[in-house]
This record gives sequence, C-alpha cells and structure tokens, in this order.
Amino acid sequence: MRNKIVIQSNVNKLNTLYQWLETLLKEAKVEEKLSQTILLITQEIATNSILHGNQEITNKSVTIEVYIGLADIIIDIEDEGKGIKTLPTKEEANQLNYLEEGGRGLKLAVLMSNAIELYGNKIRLIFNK
Amino acid sequence: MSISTITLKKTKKITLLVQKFDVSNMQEIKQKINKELKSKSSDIVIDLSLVSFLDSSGLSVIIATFKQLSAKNKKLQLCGLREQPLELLKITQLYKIFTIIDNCNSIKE
Repeated sequence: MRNKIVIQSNVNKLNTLYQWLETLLKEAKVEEKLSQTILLITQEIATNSILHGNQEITNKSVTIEVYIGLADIIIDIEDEGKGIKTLPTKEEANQLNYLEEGGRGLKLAVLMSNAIELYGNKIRLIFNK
Repeated sequence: MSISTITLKKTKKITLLVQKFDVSNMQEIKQKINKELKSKSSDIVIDLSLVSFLDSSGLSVIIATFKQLSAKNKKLQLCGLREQPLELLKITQLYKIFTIIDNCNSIKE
C-alpha cells in the first residue's frame, strides 16, 4: 500500500500530515506503540524540512510518501531545499545532551527508526513491524 | 486558551489545555509559561494529562522552563504523563532529570 501527501511549508500544516498518517496507520492495523513512534519521527523530519529545508517559504512544499508492507513501513520525506550532507551516527545520536533545547529531531529519528537513509533533500525512514 | 494556572500554597500548577504540544503551538505556550515564571517565584508543576502527543519542540519548552527554575533554585515537576510523552522522556533520558508524578491530584494545595 503506497500513499502520498504534499503539504505547504508551514508548521500549522503538520496537523494535516499527522491526521492523514494516523488514519493510514489505523487502517493498516499498525500496533499503537509503533504508530506513536512513526507519527513522532515523521513529524520531526517534516518539521526540519519546513523550517530548515524549505526555510518556511510557503510556496515550497514537503512531500511525504508512505509504503506499508507486510514486514516494514517505509516513509520518504522530501523537501525543496539544498539537502543535508550527513546523518548523525547511532553513537552520535546516543550522546544526546539532555538539556540541549534544539537539534534533537534528527537524533531521535536515528535512535527510534530501524533504519534511516539520506538522499540529499530526501530522508527515508524504515520501521520494522 | 492553551494553558490554565492555579496557584497553590507553595506551587503553581500549569495545565496544558492542548492534545498536541508541538512545533505548531510551542511559541504560544512558551510565552504564556514565561509570563507565569516572571510573576511570583515558586515551584512549578506542569500537568500534561491532556497531552497525547509531545514532540522535540514541545520538549524544548519544558527544558527551557526547567533551566529557568533551576537558576532560581526552584523545582519543576511534571504530572499526568501519557504514554507517548513518557516514552519521549525515556528515550531522551530526561526522565532521570525531571521529577515525574503519576497522579496530578496528589499535588497538595
């Protein structure tokens, strides 16, 4: 099952993404705890896309594609920015400074997904069911 | 209205009146909490029992509140944490730093 949504680069549009993804996961009967993780990490990456990738330019968009398979759930999040060069390693993500106020989203994605891949301005998240 | 506040004897209890505490409302809630912090200095309890979704932006507001209170030798306590917010505090290891109370009703007047 493959689904796609395109949202405007405005953080107020994240609720539309959340509700859309929550419905997809419910329909696919994805276990509650895994759904919560997927909803959180997808929002974290989409937030980065809006704020840093597209720099909140509202005529730029963020595209989210979701594939729900028998064994995995794959989520691609693509923006219209320049992209990032590297992802933090698991070791770097584990060295979270507890009281740092920012820069946590990508580290959480590394820690809470089963795999994460970077293709310039697109991030692929993989979760095992 | 995104928060409500009750002043108890030694503590101020701030209840978040939102289901999602995230990047979309963090600025508004941060400003309101900061306003409370500027008034009479006291320990703070944040009641999260209505919050079913917390992201790293919402978390950053809680961290900033903790830091401001610590600088004044005041305490921050969190109560009523639901499953997802609690899981986020565990993965970020912040549950070791924050004081967490299960039942918000146990906070004495």
